Amino acid sequence: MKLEIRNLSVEIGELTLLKDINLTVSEGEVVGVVGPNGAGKSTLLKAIMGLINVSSGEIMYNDKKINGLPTYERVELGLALVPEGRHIFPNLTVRENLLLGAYVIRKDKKKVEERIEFVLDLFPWMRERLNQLGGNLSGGQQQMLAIARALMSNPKLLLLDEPSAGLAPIIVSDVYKVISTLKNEVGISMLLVDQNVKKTLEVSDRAYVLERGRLVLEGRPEELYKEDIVRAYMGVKV
Amino acid sequence: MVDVNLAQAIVNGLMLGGIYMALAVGLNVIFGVVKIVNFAQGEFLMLSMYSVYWLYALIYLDPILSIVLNIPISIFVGWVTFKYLVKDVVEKGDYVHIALTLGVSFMFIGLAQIFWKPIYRGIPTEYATWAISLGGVNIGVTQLLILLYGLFSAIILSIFFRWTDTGRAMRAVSQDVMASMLMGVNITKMYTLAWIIGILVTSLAGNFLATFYYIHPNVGQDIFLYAWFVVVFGGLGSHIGAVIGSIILGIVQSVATMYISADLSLVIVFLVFILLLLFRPEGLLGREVRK
Ligand SMILES: Nc1ncnc2c1ncn2[C@@H]1O[C@H](COP(=O)(O)OP(=O)(O)O)[C@@H](O)[C@H]1O
Ligand SMILES: [Mg+2]
Repeated sequence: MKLEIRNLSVEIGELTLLKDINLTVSEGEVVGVVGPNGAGKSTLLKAIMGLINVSSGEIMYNDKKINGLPTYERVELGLALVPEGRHIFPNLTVRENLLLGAYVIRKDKKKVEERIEFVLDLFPWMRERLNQLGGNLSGGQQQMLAIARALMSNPKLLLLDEPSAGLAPIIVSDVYKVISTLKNEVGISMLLVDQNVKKTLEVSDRAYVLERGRLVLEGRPEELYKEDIVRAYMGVKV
Repeated sequence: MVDVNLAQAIVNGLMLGGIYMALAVGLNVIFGVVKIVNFAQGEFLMLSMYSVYWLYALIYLDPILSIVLNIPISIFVGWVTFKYLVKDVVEKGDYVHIALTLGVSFMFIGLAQIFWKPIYRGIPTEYATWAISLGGVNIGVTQLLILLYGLFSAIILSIFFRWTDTGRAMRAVSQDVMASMLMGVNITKMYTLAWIIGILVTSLAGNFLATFYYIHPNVGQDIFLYAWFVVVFGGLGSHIGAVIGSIILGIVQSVATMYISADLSLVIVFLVFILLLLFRPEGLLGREVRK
């Protein structure tokens, strides 16, 4: 797996949402993107998934240019996004949500069952709730379901948008435990966006700082961690 | 002691409900997935009845047997209308949907009047007068068939939406388009398919209806309004709701017509409808209206 973004810009009318973004994610790597509200983090992830049109630049996935491909083809290629705000299907059961996550591998029933077992091992509490409606889960459970659902297709690169937003601190820890497990035990490559700078930098191998549509810093988390500039940009204590 | 007249009125109402059901189920699929209220739904029924009529008039094909030909014809009509009329406006919002589908409706009616003249036609089938007699109550075979067809299509579609990958994906699309895209669902394909299914279900009702009902450019209009009422009454998107709504409307209309008067029966039906909407805007079995 290799994701390489070159000189990516996204403009909507007069607005420039992203400008000349260069970013890579290599096999097994966890890359964080931090930045203040409205910096363009979600836009970046949406552009990678094809949910928003790119004005210029290239998104290369395994040395293949994928901008221009419809979203479903990108999912078939091994990309998955856990969107901001979770977006689970409220009127589908937990099991049906998971089956939707397996939509691109639906022909292989055996594999689908294997993936369900895989995510149930990761989230044991889900087993008892397979027949509950997604909308009846708590916020934290919905976030876990959104992650589990994205894992169903066995993605090669997992994009996570604000997985800790709106969750109680103890639940945030749970979410990050799962992300650590995915990193250390499953070895899945991830591109992680979160307002929680501390947690993001802790789990990342490398990170970028995005500000007003531009990448202004890149480095190892320890370095960024020390940088006063992070504090300045983020406006938060780390 | 059961009053035979009342029993007959109820049976007639059930049969009437069968007509609404077939149209309501088709409307519901399209509304449920594509989120378009298809004001031209009745015209697809009308066009189908004409194709059944001409297959009969030109090559003496029995209206029920012509289902075999009507399936590919309706799928083709559904596919063409989606591709060239609907596809580009799906994202455009209710006002555009209403204007477009109403336009299509008027256009089809106008074309039918030009080509086939506003005259009442019928297909004189041998079995149109066949009836089953149950303790003095007559059940017309052709009407029974359309009721069975309505029930059959509602059941098949419920199974399809509940148990198949494609049906489940359609339910997902109806709840959250963006999330469905992220699951790898091809949204345009789902819209196309749902539209075709909706047109097909309604069109095949034309085969059954043509065995005993008049064929006329306005036939779709007359039935559409009731079917739409049934869909809202039963709960948008709920197939069981559409079935129950159709049966209730049919029976109330039929019984009230027999005991009061046809005009007053409409007043009663719509009074109940308005009251239901005031107290339960999501319909009998609908989920809460989400914005
Ligand atoms: N579709 C859109 N049209 C216009 N502006 C948008 C659109 N999507 C996002 N924006 C704007 O782009 C900026 C970046 O948004 P976003 O990527 O959501 O930021 P972040 O995820 O970093 O908080 C914001 O100012 C937002 O208001
Ligand atoms: Mg965001």
